[in-house]
Formats: sequence, structure tokens, C-alpha cells
Amino acid sequence: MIKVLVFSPSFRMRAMIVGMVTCSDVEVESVTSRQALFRRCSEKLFDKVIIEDYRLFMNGSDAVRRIKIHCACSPRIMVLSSIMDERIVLALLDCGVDEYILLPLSPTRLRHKVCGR
Amino acid sequence: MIVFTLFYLIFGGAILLIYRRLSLRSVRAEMAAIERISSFITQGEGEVMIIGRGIAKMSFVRCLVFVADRTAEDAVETMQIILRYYHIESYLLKRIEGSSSREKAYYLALLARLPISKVVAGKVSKYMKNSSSDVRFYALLCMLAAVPELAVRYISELDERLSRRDIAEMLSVIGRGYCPIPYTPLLLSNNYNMQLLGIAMVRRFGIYESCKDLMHLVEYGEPELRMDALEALAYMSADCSDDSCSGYVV
Amino acid sequence: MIATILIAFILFVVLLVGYWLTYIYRTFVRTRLFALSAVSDIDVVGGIGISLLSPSPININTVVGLLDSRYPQSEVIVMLDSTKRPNMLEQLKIRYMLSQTLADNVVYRSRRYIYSRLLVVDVAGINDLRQQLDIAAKYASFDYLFVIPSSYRLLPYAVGRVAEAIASQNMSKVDRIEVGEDGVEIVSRVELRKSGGFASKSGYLKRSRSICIAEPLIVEKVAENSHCLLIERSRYNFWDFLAFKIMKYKNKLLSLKK
Repeated sequence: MIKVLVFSPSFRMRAMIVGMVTCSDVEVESVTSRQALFRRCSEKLFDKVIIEDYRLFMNGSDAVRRIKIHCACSPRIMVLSSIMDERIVLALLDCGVDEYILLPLSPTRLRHKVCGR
Repeated sequence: MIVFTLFYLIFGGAILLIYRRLSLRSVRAEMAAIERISSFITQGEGEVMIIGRGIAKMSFVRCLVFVADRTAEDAVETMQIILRYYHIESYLLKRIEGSSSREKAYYLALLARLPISKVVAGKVSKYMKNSSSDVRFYALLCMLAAVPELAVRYISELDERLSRRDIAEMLSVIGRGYCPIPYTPLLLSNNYNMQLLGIAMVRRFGIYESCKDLMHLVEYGEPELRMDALEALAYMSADCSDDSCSGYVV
Repeated sequence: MIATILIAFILFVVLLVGYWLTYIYRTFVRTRLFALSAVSDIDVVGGIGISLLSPSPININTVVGLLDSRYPQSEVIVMLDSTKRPNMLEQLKIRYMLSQTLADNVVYRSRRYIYSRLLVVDVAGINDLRQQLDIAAKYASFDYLFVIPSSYRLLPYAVGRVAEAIASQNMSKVDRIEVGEDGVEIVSRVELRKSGGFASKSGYLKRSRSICIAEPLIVEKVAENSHCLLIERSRYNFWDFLAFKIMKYKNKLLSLKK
């Protein structure tokens, strides 16, 4: 069972991502705030964390360390954003984000990335 | 002053209390709608929403627009199935007919963000002559979304100059892939709107191959466009040592 | 006689409320249209960049909040007196890996690109706020300066909304943008310099070259989770927009009472 945590400040975005990744092999949870995200990551080990708030990594809150608190390689952090500026993308990948997915996204590709099928 | 304070506090408090109850219910309905729409376009199957019982039709349309804005080309066909099943196009067109110009602009903006059929272009073309600039602009966006092959023609036939914000909004429709336009004819044209759109496009998508065309604009373009072209070059960290840029680089 | 006065008063209040609701509705319609596309969340609009000036922020969360702005082309310039608040400066230096620039000893920039939007200016020995703002304006990279008082919090879409408002006009003719009833304004850096800067007594930017945004873009205190939902929904639902406006007035009245 793949455990996925979804975070976005927007309730609609959360609903959209949950709708796209939910399937029989995936257990999806969503959180509404950054504090809840860090708290949930410290309480439970997730396989993937999908975040639609790239500013979280650029405001000095040490987000990557707090999300990967249990282990350096897990969970896999996937950031969704519409920003195409390669400097920002490279900066995010450099600070520890595992995958950067550009919006508008392909639902089937996202599901494939999360579920592996 | 005391009377106004009391009035605001009582009136405000009452509205907040009543609306808090209602808004949480509609938030849940919207979240459920968006989840079902997303699930349907991912899997190609799913439960059908019963409009009116679970969610109002206008809220459902907004949810559809939200998802359409954030999903790529490969979800277009499935989105169009949803549009046809719920008769969204005819619903929005009816709403546009019977509303004020402010509301017209909003419904046209909603329509432009959906993967609409070509039939819609004929029905919204009459709004291109509306007295409100917002209505005219969003009618243009609808036509771009409905018939992307004729996008260059529609833009070149415009009488008025578009603002940079209008161009940015047009780009967001193009960026979804519903309206593929090549950038070279835009930059090389003599039309102000097309050149502005071309500059915004190459800057947004980081098209480095366009640097020569941008430098040509810096040298020979309209005064208003020279700064935009120079800025696009700087944003893409292009080499500004060319002679055409020398007068601007300090 | 009393009945007549009462009726007249009630009619007056009703007319006032009606006029206010019409104004709120017109503001809401504009907000809804801009929120639908939210182009400034995706891309730089019209090449416009905005520098956020924060004079003496209350705590580090203020700086974090400013860095949360969604508009891609913005920077945050924090003005801090290192003699009066050395701890705050140390905290910022550690958190954002700041170091003094070689060119100027009063300016701190981050060594990491991910924090490159932050600039800290040491205004030690300068007590006048306007002089501090002039110094900060000297180091600003972008065309427009947005001064945010330390008691306010900026909404995440605020900077982008300002950029869109400027880009909707003929940009060469916009020098000042006023934000609704909050008394906050954004000024063009070039025109500010021509008029003598913030500290100049003759500093005056022509009214004909200013535009006004009636939507609420800043809030008086940090929004809790429930307010976040209200703020998000207020951009496309009229009743939530009205509730948000009333909440702002209520907060303002309560803060005036204090």
C-alpha cells in the first residue's frame, strides 16, 4: 500500500490531487496547513508527499529536513507548480525536492508517478 | 460613531454566523465535485454528479474550470465528454445572453477556460462588438479557445491595443495547449498586439532561439515595445552585447 | 416629529448601506475576474517587478510571510537596526545564510539562490523612517516599491494583484497605486527619485498618475486556518467577500478601541 500525503493551501487543489491519485493501491491523506504537514510527517512515514506550495522551500522553514525527518531518502517529495523559470526549478531540486511537476499536468502521468502504473 | 460601530458589529456578526454554516457545506460539495471530476478524467470512468442535489450548477462549472485550467492536453477529450453530458456550453451561453456586461465578462471568461467546441465561436462573435472592453476581450479569448487555428487572424483584426495583462491572460490559454501559436510570425509581424504577444510568449517559455528576432525588435520596433523586448532578453539572460542593445545597456 | 426623524434616519442608513453594498459588489466583480485567471501566480505580468519594503519587522514570521508572496518577480527588503535588534539580525543571518556584500557593509544577501529574494539593510544610526526607506529604495532591484507597515500581513496573491493592476493600464503612466481603505501605497522607484524620495518634503506624486485597488490585499493580523478558507473563497463568492470585508472593519474598529 503506497502512503501518500497531499498538501496545498488551496482546498480545491487538494481535492483535485486526491481525486487524481486515489486508487486501490494508494492510501491518501491530505493536510490543510504547513504545521499539519510537518506534524504528520513526523508522526508517520509516507512514501510520497505531494506539495503544491513551492514557497514552502524558499522561506527558510527548513521544509525538506522536517518532511524527511525519519529518513534521508523517504518520503519522495514531489512539488507541483506552474513556474517555468529554470533557476527556481534548479534551486528547488538543489535544496532536496525529488521531483518537480509542471502545471498544467497530465492526470494519468501523475497517477503513474505515484502508483507506479 | 457609536451607532455605526454597533450597526457594523451586529450586522457583521449575524452575517458571519449564518454564512459560516452555509459556506462549509458548499466547500465540501465543491471538494467532492472536484475529486469526482479529477477521478473521472484520470480513469475515464466514475460516478456522475447530480447537479442541484449535491451542488449548484454554477459551482459545478467553476469546479470544471478549475480542473481544466490545471490539466494538460491529454485530458481534453474526457473534459469534453463532461461538458457535453451536462450541457455546460449551452448553459453558459444562456447565462451570457441574460446578464449585465460585468456578469457577461465573467461567464465569457469561464467559457474561455474550458475546452469548448468550434460552434461556440459563432455564438460569441457578436460580443466582439460590445461596448465593454472586458466583454470584447473575453469574447476574443473564447474564440481563440474554440478555433485556435484562426487565432493569429483574430488577433491581427483587433482595432484596439491590448494591455500587458490581457496578453498574460491570453498566454495562459495558449499555455494549456488549446491554442498552439508559433512565435516567429508573431515577432516578425507589424501588428502591435501580435508583437507584444510574441515577446511575452518567448519570455514565458524561455525560447532562446528567438533572441535574434528580439534584438531586431529592440533596434527597429515601436518605442513602446523596445523595453519589453530588452526585458525579455535580460530575463532569459541572453547576451546583450549586440549593437542593437548597446544604447540601452549601462 | 420624532417619527419623521426616525424614518428619515432609517432611510438614510438604508441608502448608505445600499450604496456601500453596490460599491462592495463592483469591487467583488473585479476581484472575481482577476482571481479566475490568476496569471500573476504563474508568470511575471508585463515584466513588472515589485520590491517589498519591510521597516523593522516584528519577528521572523513577518519576513517568512513576505517571502510567501506568489508573484515570481518580487523581492523582500528588510530594514533592521543592528544596534537595537542584534538578535533579530543574527536569526536572519543563520536562517537565510546571509553575508555582507563586498560592495557595501550595510547590505546582507544570501549565499544560496533559493533565498536570493531576500535583502537585509542595516539602518543602524538612522531613526527617521523616511530616511530608512530611501536607503532601502537605493538597493531595490525592481521598478515598484511596496512599503508594508510591520503591523500588517500581506495576502499571498496581493503582490501579483498589484502587478496585474499596473499591467492593465498604460504602464508608463502609472506612478502610484493605492490599496483601498488600508492607506497603503506602492510607488514607482523612478518617479520617487525624481520627486526627491520619501524623506523629501516636496515629495509629491501627481494624482493623475495613480490608480486605486479597492480589494483587500492586506490583513491586520495573522489569518488563522478558518480565515484562510474565507480569504480563498472571498475571491469568487460574493457573500464570503462581504464577510471578509466586515471582518476587516470589525478588526479595525477593535484595534482602534484598544
